[in-house]
Amino acid sequence: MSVCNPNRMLLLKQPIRSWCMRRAIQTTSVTNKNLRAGQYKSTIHRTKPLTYEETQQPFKIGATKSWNSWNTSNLHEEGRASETTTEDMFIRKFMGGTWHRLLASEVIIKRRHNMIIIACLVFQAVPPRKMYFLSGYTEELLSTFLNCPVKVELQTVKDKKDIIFKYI
Amino acid sequence: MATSVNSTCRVLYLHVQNVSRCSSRPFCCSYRRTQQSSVSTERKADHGGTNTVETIIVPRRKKRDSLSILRALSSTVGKDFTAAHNRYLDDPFLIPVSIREKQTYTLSRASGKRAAKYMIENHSPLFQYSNEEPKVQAYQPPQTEYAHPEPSEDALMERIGMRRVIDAIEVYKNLRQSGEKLPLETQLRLLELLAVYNCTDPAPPPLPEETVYSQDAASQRIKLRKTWHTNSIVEELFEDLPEKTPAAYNIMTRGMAKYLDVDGAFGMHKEMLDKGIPVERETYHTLIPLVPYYTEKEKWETVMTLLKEMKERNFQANLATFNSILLSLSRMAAYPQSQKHAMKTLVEMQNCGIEPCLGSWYYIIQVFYYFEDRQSNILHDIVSEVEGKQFTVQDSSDMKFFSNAMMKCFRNLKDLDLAYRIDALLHTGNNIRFLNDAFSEQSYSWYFMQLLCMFETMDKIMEYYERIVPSMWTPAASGMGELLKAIELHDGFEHIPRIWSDVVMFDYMRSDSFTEPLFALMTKKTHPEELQSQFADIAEYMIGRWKQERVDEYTNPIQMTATNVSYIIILCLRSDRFESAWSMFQTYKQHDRMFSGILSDESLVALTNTCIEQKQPEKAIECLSVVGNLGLQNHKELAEKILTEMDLSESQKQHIDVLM
Repeated sequence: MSVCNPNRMLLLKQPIRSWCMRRAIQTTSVTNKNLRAGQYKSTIHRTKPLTYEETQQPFKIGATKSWNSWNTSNLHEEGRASETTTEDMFIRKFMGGTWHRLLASEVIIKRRHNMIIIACLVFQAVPPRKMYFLSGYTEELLSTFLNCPVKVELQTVKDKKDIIFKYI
Repeated sequence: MATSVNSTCRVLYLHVQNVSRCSSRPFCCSYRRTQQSSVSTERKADHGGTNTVETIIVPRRKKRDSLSILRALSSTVGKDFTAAHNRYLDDPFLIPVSIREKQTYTLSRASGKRAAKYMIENHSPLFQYSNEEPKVQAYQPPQTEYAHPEPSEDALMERIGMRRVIDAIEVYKNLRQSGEKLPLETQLRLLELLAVYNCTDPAPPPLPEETVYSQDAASQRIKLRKTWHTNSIVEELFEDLPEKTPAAYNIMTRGMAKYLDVDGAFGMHKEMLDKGIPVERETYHTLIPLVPYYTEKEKWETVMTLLKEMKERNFQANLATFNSILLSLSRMAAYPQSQKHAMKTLVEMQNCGIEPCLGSWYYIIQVFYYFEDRQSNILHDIVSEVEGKQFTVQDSSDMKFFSNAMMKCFRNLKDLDLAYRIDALLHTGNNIRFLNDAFSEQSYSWYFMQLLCMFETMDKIMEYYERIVPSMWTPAASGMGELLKAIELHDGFEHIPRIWSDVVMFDYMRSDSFTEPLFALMTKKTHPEELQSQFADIAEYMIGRWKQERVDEYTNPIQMTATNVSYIIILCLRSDRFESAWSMFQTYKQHDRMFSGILSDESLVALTNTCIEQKQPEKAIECLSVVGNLGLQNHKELAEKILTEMDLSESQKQHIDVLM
């Protein structure tokens, strides 16, 4: 159902197709889908490095990337959802501060039975003995804080370039 | 690959078959059904063929606990020799290889935990977040403040409960000053605390990582000495007791025995006998091992007297009793009679129907092989006795069995077959847990490897080497030396490149005491071309590392001796790498003060001969001048050889004349 008048079109001396594209009326309903939240903005010269995880948009969680927190608090009648979330935030802040400038990825927190497993990538910026010190420190301190066994599972990354998936 | 998976599945299936018939598990039900159907088909076949019908005996249902299935599953998986120990983080960058790395990483982790404990103790109010149910005490921050700060009986009991010895003593002293009477029960509890911990605060329990490195060669040599505090508060308390009960006497005797106040303990024991106070069984267990330190003569007779006393009190001997007798005997093992008594004890154990634990066998070994030249077949008998059995920990001395058995097998017996049997026993079931600290693991593997190097073929040695190095065992530099000797003996030169890569990994290339024999071995004779070129690679790598570490100014750079330089030159020449040999020679010539010793005859002759072959008179003359400077014997012959075999200019001839 267009309102364009062919005679008027001739007066304007514009191609009908281009005019229609600008001024068309659509009748289908609007989707308010926000595709820009949680996504990185690309730069002009495509110079911004991103890891694999950063390149995958939030709606791809569960398809091409997975969750950062693994627990059962959102299942039926499980409870502890708010506690788990707060604890996870605490763990992430703690890891960021304790492994300062060493974390190469998001901190993945997995809860199995009464155990918390913290997994992440770290840069090989300090000698291994310091990593062993930090892992012992993290495990002992968080175990006492959260009242359950905590285990740190690390993988090291030699070079920052190794984790770059693409530039945008 | 596929077959191995299949076989694993089959083993697993069989295990499950053995494990559980409980009807509540659905998959067990389905298993039962399949079994029934298979049985019925069997019968049909029988009817079709012959008339004999097999009777099927259905085994009785066995009661299993909730862990049976997990145990069965775990028994299908063996030890993975390629994986690092699970105390290390599983990442190539973080897995240790050398002995030093292993120790540093383990103790760093322990140190991190200690740091965290320090933070928790000093900031315990920050760790009160807790919403779990039920509360696990181990994850609570330690209680630093007392519920009863003022001295009172409750305060004393609180400190005793928390094992705070020093604080308990302080409260007790305050109470005594104020003249308050404490009930006997409380006083006995305090006496017990003070006697067990010898009036000092107990050290915090070691972390698992620390126990691994708690033992070393130095701690093995520490002599036992008396540490009991005489005239201390505990003795005052004992004297002040309103009524000296038998329990108090026993507590004091055990405390003195624990901290090796031998005279005090036996004095107390005598007092008890005189006053007719009953001695407890545990007190005897602590006294018997001290007999060798108590008397000079008639040690065994004293042990027997104690045992007779036990008999009078109708104490039935148990494993701990026999272990204390055997420990006592191992402490008097230098006496020739001790072996006879040890055998008697074993017979008595058998009569009582008590199975000896690994610790008992350890003491027997100590008795029979006390001196290195003592020969006996008892170890064979012990191994035949325990072969194929799985053990659980019953005594702290159990942990010493395997490393000691292997050590005696090497030192006293030199018996490879026996060593294989001990190794098989170690890998039976979960027995590998008895090798739980780094020191015994190291010494066990070291003695076994030495035996292998003595008697086994090169292939077998390397098979074992590949299996346990470096995940389970990192040989010390002397261990690698032993391996080199075996290579020389068995002509196994093809294994040198593999060993060299380990040498680089374990960082043994710094010590010339190790690299010199290695290079000497490589130059000992000429080899096929491929191996020879691998050796030349090794030589070039060594030069490269040495130069690099000089440039990078390492604090502890590789030390290169002139002997090694000679070997490197020879190795390079043998695989036609004249350039490398020449550059090494030039480096030596320019910086000869950096190398200790002088170049060998052989290397210089070889280098000069190659110069002659390559028709390079200048270089040949340079070699000749070095030979002359070092005052080596072949100087004249070499000069004549150059003169006769090469086309030289007049000036070069004159140069040689001057050098001659």
